[in-house]
Amino acid sequence: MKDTVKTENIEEIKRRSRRKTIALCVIAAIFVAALIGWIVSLEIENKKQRTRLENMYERTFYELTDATNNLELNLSKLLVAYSREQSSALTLETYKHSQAALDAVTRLPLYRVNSSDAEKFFNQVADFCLSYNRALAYNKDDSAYRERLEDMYITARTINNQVTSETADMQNGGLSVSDSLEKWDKANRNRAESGGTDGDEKDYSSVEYPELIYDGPFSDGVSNRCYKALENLEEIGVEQACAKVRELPFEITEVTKIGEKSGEGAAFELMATSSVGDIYCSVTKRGGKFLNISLSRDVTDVVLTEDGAKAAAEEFTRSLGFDVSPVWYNVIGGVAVVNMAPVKDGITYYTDLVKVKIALDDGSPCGLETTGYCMNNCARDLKPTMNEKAAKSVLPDYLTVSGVRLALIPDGQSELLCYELAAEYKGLDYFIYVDAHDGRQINIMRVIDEDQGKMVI
Amino acid sequence: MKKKKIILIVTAFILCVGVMLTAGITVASAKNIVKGDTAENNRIVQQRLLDLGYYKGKVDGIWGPKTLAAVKSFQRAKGLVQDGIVGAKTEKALGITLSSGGSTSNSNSTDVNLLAKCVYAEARGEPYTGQVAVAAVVLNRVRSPKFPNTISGVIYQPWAFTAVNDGQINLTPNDQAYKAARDALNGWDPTNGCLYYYNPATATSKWIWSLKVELTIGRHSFARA
Repeated sequence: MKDTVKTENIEEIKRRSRRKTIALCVIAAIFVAALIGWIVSLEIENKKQRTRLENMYERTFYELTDATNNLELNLSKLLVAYSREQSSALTLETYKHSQAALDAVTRLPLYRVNSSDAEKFFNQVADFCLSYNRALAYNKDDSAYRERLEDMYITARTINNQVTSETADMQNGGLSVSDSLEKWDKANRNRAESGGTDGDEKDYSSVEYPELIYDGPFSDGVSNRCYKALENLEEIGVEQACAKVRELPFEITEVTKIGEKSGEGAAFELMATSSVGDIYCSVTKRGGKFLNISLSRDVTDVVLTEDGAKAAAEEFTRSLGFDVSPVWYNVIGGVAVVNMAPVKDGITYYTDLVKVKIALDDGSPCGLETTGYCMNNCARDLKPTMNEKAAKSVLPDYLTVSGVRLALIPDGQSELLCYELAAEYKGLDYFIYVDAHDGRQINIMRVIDEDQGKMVI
Repeated sequence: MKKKKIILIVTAFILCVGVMLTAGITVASAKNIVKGDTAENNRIVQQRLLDLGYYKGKVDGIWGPKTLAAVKSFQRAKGLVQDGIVGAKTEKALGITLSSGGSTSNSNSTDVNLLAKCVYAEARGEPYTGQVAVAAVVLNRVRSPKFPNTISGVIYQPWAFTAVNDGQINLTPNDQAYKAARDALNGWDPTNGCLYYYNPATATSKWIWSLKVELTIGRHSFARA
């Protein structure tokens, strides 16, 4: 009897053990199945994302193909356009396609060394076309522009051939855009990084790019601009530059050199340790002018008014040898940003801007930027041909004018004497600039209220 | 009977078209400009007109026929030109101050946000001037022909910034990053036109090492080209 009970117990234990094993196996199987399902779903999602990205690249690549094709075509037409109307229409078309090519090439995953020259070319062609179009609109001599067209066309044709050949390779070889670009990019990247120069015809950097000098911000001549305010000034050494920093109205304990800028605006980069934290300063080698002062501190108790901040900014800039007056005011986090410009004989020189930051708790300076002043300030003899009344009369009746003043404003690479007219149209505020000699409308700026004050764009 | 039906249908059609046209005209004429053209300005105008008894609708910031009618009625009462436009004169007569911002103002703050995100992702922990310098490099690229012409174009250009590649760009920036971004947008550029920067401790590209370093702030070396 005892043996029978024992056998039954053993059987029961075995049965339980078997059930447990089966249950464990089922759980493990469910777990594995779930894991496989999860991995498969991840892979499906991953594939979807890859396809989506690939489609975006493909679209961008075909857009680049269209744009370079149209760019070459329009430049070739521009070569033979002899009427101003046709040239004007073609410059706008070329501008559009150059911008589209730039947009496409910057969205593709290309290594910078391979694409930066092409990006520069597309940018410059677009900028050149705007400048050309403006010259045509103002009836200026366009011969200098026409002379550049052939070089631009040849470069555009070379780039277009490369892009077209790349497209054909991709389509014939059955490669995806990202695979093809990766292959091409890797080869060029290795070559560029190892300093090799063997010509790969698919490398945009191997194309010969023309030097484009014209009246526009992306012109090749812009980077070589001189610093007029520093001309004929004596060069100083780093010790003298450090001494100038020590004269700033802060408790400065140490000044160290952290760098040196070369070129026209050569400057010493200095870091000062002070009671208000680190102060970064850039002091020009010629004349020892402050190009830049930057520090950050928290301002909690705002006590200074706008007039107080402007007076403090004026005092600080005069102490550094800049004869400028406040022309614009803004407040950011308890710090006033005061834009200042020379004002002489009723003319505001916006070209020679100095920007100052004043802490609104104690009126101490916490920033200075004088690049505009150092680049442009010089003796000028400016006289308007029109008077204020005539300038006002140029504006249409639907604009309500609330103020007029003479201003020198940047105009491409040069500057232009204008009347600045503060005007309102249906509740929208503007500054409208008209040429002080012939009343042509030169520029329109919108005045917009922001959280921190007014902004002009 | 059939004729009656046709007449009824035609009359109903004409009425419908008439109603639609009238509604269209009303809606079109309601599309006037209030100073700054923002919902907040519309709300201020509606609230003021409600207080003065010219407006009976909801203060919802939506410029509709009721608001337009109220503005015109106010202008009539005050001897102003009844054009339904809240310009400087109507604003003054209402005794309110409207901001002249608009969608452009919003797009500017979008740029500040994006630039601050880039500064925080790329240069948090760096000295303040180093953060301004990173923001300035982005803006120098926008101004350079070698790069895209917009802040977003520069920041999201493939392989341009490590923090964009690894997703750190989506971190929430702190106040200092915003200050640095605003300073750079206001024209501060400690790099004086540099287009590149790298961390010498981590940079592996031989090309980036070949660039002439103009200055070093914190852990970043800045180069022109």
